[in-house]
Amino acid sequence: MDAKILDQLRAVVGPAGMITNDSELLVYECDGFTIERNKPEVVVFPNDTAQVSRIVKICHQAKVPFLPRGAGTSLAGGCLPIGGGVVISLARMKRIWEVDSRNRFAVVDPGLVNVWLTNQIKSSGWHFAPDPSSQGACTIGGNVATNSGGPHTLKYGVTVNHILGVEMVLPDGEIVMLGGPVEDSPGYDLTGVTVGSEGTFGVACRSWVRITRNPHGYRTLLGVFETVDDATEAISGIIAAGIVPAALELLDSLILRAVEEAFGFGFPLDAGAVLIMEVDGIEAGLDEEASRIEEIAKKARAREIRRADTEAQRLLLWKCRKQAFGAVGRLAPSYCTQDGVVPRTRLPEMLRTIRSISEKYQIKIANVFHAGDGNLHPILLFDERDSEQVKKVLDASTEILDACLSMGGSVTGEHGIGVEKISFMPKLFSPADLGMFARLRKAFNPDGLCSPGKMLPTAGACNEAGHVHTDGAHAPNKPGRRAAL
Amino acid sequence: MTDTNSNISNSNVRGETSMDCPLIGRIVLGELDLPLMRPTTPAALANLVRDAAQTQTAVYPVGGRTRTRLGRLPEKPGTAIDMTALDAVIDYPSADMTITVQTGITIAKLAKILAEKGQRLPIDSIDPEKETIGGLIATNASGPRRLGHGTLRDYVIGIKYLNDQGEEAKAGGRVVKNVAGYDLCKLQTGALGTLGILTEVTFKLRPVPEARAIVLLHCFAANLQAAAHAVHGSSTRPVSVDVLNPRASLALFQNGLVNPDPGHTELNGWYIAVGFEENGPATRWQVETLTQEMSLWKPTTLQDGKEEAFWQALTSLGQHWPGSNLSTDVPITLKATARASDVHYVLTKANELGAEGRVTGHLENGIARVHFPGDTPVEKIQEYTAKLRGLALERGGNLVVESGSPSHLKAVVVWGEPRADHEVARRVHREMDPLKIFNPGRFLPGT
Ligand SMILES: Cc1cc2nc3c(=O)[nH]c(=O)nc-3n(C[C@H](O)[C@H](O)[C@H](O)COP(=O)(O)OP(=O)(O)OC[C@H]3O[C@@H](n4cnc5c(N)ncnc54)[C@H](O)[C@@H]3O)c2cc1C
Ligand SMILES: Cc1cc2nc3c(=O)[nH]c(=O)nc-3n(C[C@H](O)[C@H](O)[C@H](O)COP(=O)(O)OP(=O)(O)OC[C@H]3O[C@@H](n4cnc5c(N)ncnc54)[C@H](O)[C@@H]3O)c2cc1C
Repeated sequence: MDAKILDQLRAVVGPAGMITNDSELLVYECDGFTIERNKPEVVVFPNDTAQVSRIVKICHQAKVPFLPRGAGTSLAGGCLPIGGGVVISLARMKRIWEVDSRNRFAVVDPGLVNVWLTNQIKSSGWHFAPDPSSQGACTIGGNVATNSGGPHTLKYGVTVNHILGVEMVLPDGEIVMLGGPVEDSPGYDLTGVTVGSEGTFGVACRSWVRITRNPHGYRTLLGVFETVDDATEAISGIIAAGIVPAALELLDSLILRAVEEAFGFGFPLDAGAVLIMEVDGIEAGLDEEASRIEEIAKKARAREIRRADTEAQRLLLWKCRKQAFGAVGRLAPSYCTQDGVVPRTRLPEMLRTIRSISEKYQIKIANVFHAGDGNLHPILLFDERDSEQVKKVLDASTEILDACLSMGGSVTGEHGIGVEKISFMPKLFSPADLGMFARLRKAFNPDGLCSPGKMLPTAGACNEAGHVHTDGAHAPNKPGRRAAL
Repeated sequence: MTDTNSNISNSNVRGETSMDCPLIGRIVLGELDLPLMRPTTPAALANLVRDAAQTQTAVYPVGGRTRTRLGRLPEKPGTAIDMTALDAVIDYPSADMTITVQTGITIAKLAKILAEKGQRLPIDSIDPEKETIGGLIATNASGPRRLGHGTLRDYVIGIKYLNDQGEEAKAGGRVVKNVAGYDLCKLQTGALGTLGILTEVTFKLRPVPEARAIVLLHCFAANLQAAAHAVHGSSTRPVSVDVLNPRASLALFQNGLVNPDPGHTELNGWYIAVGFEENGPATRWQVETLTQEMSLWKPTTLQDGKEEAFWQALTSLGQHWPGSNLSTDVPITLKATARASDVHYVLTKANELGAEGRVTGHLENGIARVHFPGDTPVEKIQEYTAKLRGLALERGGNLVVESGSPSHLKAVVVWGEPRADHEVARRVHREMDPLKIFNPGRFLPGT
């Protein structure tokens, strides 16, 4: 990179606000998706929106690609710096600017770790509803960019349902406020379409987020089933009965073993699957709901149903669930998580399909997922050093996601397309659909310098020369396009 | 209508009438007199859009035509398209709690199909028998229960629309959780049909709640803030908190639905309606609890269907005026917004400024509406709108004119003060409808 550009950046963030040496840059060559890597040329750490704007202006003028980055927990390669360039880390911007419980919103910085907001407001009876399993690490800016979900988004909705406004630095450096704390402001829902745009519309700085009142109480049940099929039957039964649980999460036997070893919760290791079934809300209504769920689970041949009787038990159960990915390290040196979605009634079939794919490729696959939403997270276990296994994992992943599509589902419920799943976009969307996406992106990101190579396949891949705009010289055939090709 | 207008509009109906796209009449939109076509197949609809693209004219989709007069006035001749023949249910996998429908389906028809499975789309609407899903989404309509259940953007999970080439494009899908691609479902919701014609939509659904009730509270303008504050502090979790000024209360109570104060024929004071929808025990507990917490405010309970009728009547409160001729007098509705903590101020000021207006509001959402009869003089509405907008802007809000006759609409700023992101919105529009085919002129200036 031109030394002049580095000097300009240094003038904004100071020498302590940037990284340029190779060994430190290594950290930024990938995110939670480790199969593809590429080093950026520089990482900058702005302190506020004005600095972000100045950095983006420098990139824009010099035609250098840039990429916002939160905690780097993306599982889809969203933080892969395609074409090198500048990584803008929001890690130093982590203030809570305002909590206004009367008007039910908070204003937070992009680098604020998700759970910190809830920690800050829970004693006064509030929380931030989107609760990705990675909430102890991931940032609210990252959540906004990927439209994150979590166990409790079954009842409360995903990130976009909780974002009122975003202060954006557009790819030309202009600062613009989308939406805001007052509802129904006239005009297009630019906030809604920006959430989930995976960093391709600019850098999200402060967000105006909805805060949610804590429920009066919870009933948290653990259903133990002999088989995965029985557990999925219970899920369909609960949904069909018109109950909206707060969460409905499935763990299969493989993942149970890892979690049990890590946390010693007392899961039955001979079970085929367990379901975490939680209802919350007005205390007076909870027992009735819980007993209806219990009944349905029993009908689906639950071997045993336990209740988390104390808050400590409940929290431990959720810790087991949320840190399940972490525990996978005990099962294999490397893992790769998929994020497919199927209509909820197709879960039994889909889990059988996963089983047969696992046998076909001789790759172990553990399942721990948001069952109530039909959002699967098959975890494929392998050893990264064995290139044959890596290939098998990629092939098995593709087969799993294709099966989701053939059942009328999607390849990603919450992790995003990133670079990992770009090749699926033409399977999900027609050239006309993709053409309209490309036009929309062009309205925000006309030069394609912001997060190039993410989400949309380039023109060649979808034969829509007229509408699909490429990301210019930075994207094709550079490192990082493996998944796309 | 002047000659020029009809000449222009005639020249656009290229195929004239055909089997799958009959010309069914003419319709006046704003000051344009347009031919009204009624396509019966998606292909015929697409042809209309392609024709418009080729002839540089416009298309104006209409659904139930309950709100075709709102928005700014259409600025370009073209064809009006009646969407109501395209009203099929495409797929209703009820156990998955999703449904895919064509957008010409009415709210009432959809609700009936869903009710058979104990499900619903929890969005209040003004006139369910007439209104279509397309119109509802295009206007992002909502009502009292948005507090508890959110608005359409929280339920639209997949969408198909015709783009400016007449091609069908989609976003989202048919599963409840999906982040593949840009979320055009959000962008299209509330875009007033300026980014394409919506043809198909997939909703996620909710179960019909086991029990519901409304607790009505009485207060006066002077202690509205205190009452609103007390409701906000309640330990219950209402799905709706609405306020009605004396005129709005009178209009609502006079239709015989309920009279919470039977001793008085001349109702006075304001009412706050707090709604609950939950399972039986939770609803009962909340009604009892709120009744105790708010015992100073003369609580009365509406249930056994009265609450549902109340919500419906409240949503359509602007529609019915004694002695007014609905075919000539278009009722006027203004919507002012503010922070929830300030909306009582906007409400009481609205009440003081315009004595004959029916003032209502979603207290916890910071939304106030004022309804006037259609024969209110233009100058009066003009002055009133400007004053109220000023008040709303001071409190971080804005003001939109949701309904009015062309002469009223021409005299006011329909969509309020431009937002900070106005320029970005124009860029989005320019990319998605460069030829200005879709509802040109009706939405924000520049679209
Ligand atoms: C163990 C584990 C569990 C997980 N569980 C869940 C889960 O339950 N639900 C779920 O949805 N996800 C989950 N994830 C995925 C991931 O945590 C989420 O996608 C999260 O929102 C990413 O946040 P981040 O701060 O790490 O963002 P990053 O990984 O840093 O970035 C993600 C994407 O967002 C963009 N981005 C980041 N910040 C900004 C910004 N300020 N402005 C614009 N673009 C930005 C980046 O360019 C990138 O494309 C999990 C990940 C792990 C490792
Ligand atoms: C800004 C605004 C806010 C409103 N807010 C509310 C509210 O909060 N609550 C409420 O109950 N009512 C509200 N209304 C009224 C609402 O428009 C009507 O109640 C109803 O939803 C319209 O349905 P319809 O089928 O009668 O549509 P029409 O009156 O026929 O059309 C309404 C608008 O939608 C467009 N449209 C219709 N079908 C399609 C389609 N398939 N594709 C693209 N565009 C289409 C039309 O071009 C037109 O611009 C609002 C109206 C406006 C203008």
